[in-house]
Parts: sequence; C-alpha cells; structure tokens
Amino acid sequence: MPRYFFHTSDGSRDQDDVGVELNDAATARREAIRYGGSLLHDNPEIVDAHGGLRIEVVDESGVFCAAVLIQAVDADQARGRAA
Amino acid sequence: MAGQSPSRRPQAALTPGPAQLDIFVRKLLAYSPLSTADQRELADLPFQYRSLGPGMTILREGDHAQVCPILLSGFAFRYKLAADGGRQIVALRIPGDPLDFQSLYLRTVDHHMRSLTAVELALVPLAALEQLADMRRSIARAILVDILVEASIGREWQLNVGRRHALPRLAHFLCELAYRLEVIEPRARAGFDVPLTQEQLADILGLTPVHVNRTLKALEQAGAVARSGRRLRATDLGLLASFADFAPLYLHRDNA
Repeated sequence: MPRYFFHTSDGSRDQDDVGVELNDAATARREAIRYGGSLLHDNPEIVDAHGGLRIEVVDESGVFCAAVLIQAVDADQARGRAA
Repeated sequence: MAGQSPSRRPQAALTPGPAQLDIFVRKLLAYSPLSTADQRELADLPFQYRSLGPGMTILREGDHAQVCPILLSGFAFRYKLAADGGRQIVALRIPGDPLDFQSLYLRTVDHHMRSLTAVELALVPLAALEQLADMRRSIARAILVDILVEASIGREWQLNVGRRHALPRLAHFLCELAYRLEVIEPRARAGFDVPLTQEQLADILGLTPVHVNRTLKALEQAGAVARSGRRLRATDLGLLASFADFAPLYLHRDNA
C-alpha cells in the first residue's frame, strides 16, 4: 500500500516523517479531514492559531495530494473586513 | 511457540497436558483465591489443542458455542461491526485468558473474535467447565470474577474512547496492557513490546491511524515509547501513567 505523509501546522509546524499506509490519495484526503476533526475535538483552540489548522497530504514521492484548512471567523473580524 | 506454521491442521490432544493449562490457572489465581485442589482440577480439564495464524476467526456473532477457547499464547480481540463495515475493537485478550466464559451462561455469542497475532488455543468443552463450576463453588466464583473484571475494563474503555484526549487515551491503554501482562510477564511494567499495529490501535482507541501515528511520535519524543520499523515498545510506564493519570483500581489486581 502507498504511504502518505500528513504535515500539520497549528501554530507550529509538525513534519510527518513516518507516514501512514493507506489505499489511495482519496483515502488519504478523507483521513486528513477526519484527523483534523480529531485534533479539533481535543483542542478546539487550535483554530485560533495564525492561519488556523492546516493539514497537508503528500505522497511518497513528495507530490502534493490535498490540504485541509480549518479556520474560525468571528463576528468582530467579519465586521472589520466589511468596513 | 513462535514460528509455528499458521496453516498447521488442528490437533486433538489425546490426554490433557497439565503444564499447558498452567498459564490459564495462573491467570485465574491472580484474581481469585483457588486451593491447590481447585488448581489441579482446572489444569486437568480436557481440551483440544488448536493453533491459528493472525487475523483468523475464533468466535462468530450468532454462534452457539460448545467450547471455551483458552488463549495459551498470542493475543486475540473482540470486535463489533457497524453497518458501513466500520470496526470497533471492544476487548483485547492476552495469553492465559479464557475467551468465552460468557457462553456458560448466554446461549448466543454476541460479538466477533479474531486472533491478533498467531495464537495457540486450548478448546475446553463448556460442559466440562460447567460440571467443574457446579462441583466447586470457588471455581464458579473465579469464572464470575473473570467476567466481571472484563466488564470493568470495558467500562474504562468507554471512558477512554468517550472522553480522554488522544495522548492520555493512548498512554492509558498502554498502562493497562502493562498491568494485565504483568500476570504472565512479571517485568511488563519495566517495558514491553506492544503487539498491535497503528491500525489496530486506531480501531481500539477510536482515533484515525494518522492521529495514532502523530501521538506515538509525541510519546516517542517524550521518551515514553520507542519505535523501530513496525515494532513498538512501551519503555517508560511511569511517564505513560503520568500522561494518562492512570489509576489501576479498575483492574482489580487486589482481588485474590
């Protein structure tokens, strides 16, 4: 099975140097989303990090497959932008 | 015991070997008082020897069991399946564990069971166990205690999967395994090899394999576990216990 790497940024960048064997890129994408959910379940404040939570999926050859970006938008910010 | 071919055909034991059920007797003794006469009766139970490779079916939901398999070596797990095929591992059984005491009392097996690693089993006829339990109250009690302790571990798993964050969740599970293994491997709390893959840990802990991977990395950086290739070893149980806020009361190691 091909191996995929899930580089995570949540304020600090965590380079995945071990990876996980998964069936294909579509499965890896799905796992990245579920992984984001799992991280946020434990630590909701991760979204407050600069740039929010970012999970980048890369294959064994280093080719980018998908990225999951999770951010929160608050009322104050939204009003500020519209002004 | 390791290295036996998984395709070996099941053998009938012609006479029960007292040494072979020793690990089972030791397991029961760790949780219940049993006289030497009780122990001898248990060790003399008739059984059929069987060896299986990893991932082989031991129990099927809906079975009407005739035998109680005893795990002589290797690990096995109970699991249930959701309609979409999602698997939840609901219990882990270690060497020395009886695998189906429940069928002494319940007509139908209500879950699936598979071997995790290659295993050796002693298939004890339920009728023989029942007869022994009828004759000896202390043995009947020991059977009940085993069922109750497994239920207690199950309640802790519900808490673990339902509430604990990923790192304490994984750390807690490893501490529990160390305490349980201590019955058969006295130095387990000084460090032990974890017989589970990342995917199996994910199925037990209700985490995605990616999250298990990342959590193992964090534990490794803290010095609590060591990984080399596919192998995982829990090395610092004290540290794991502090991450997990581990309290062994629910394992009832004080019961005997």
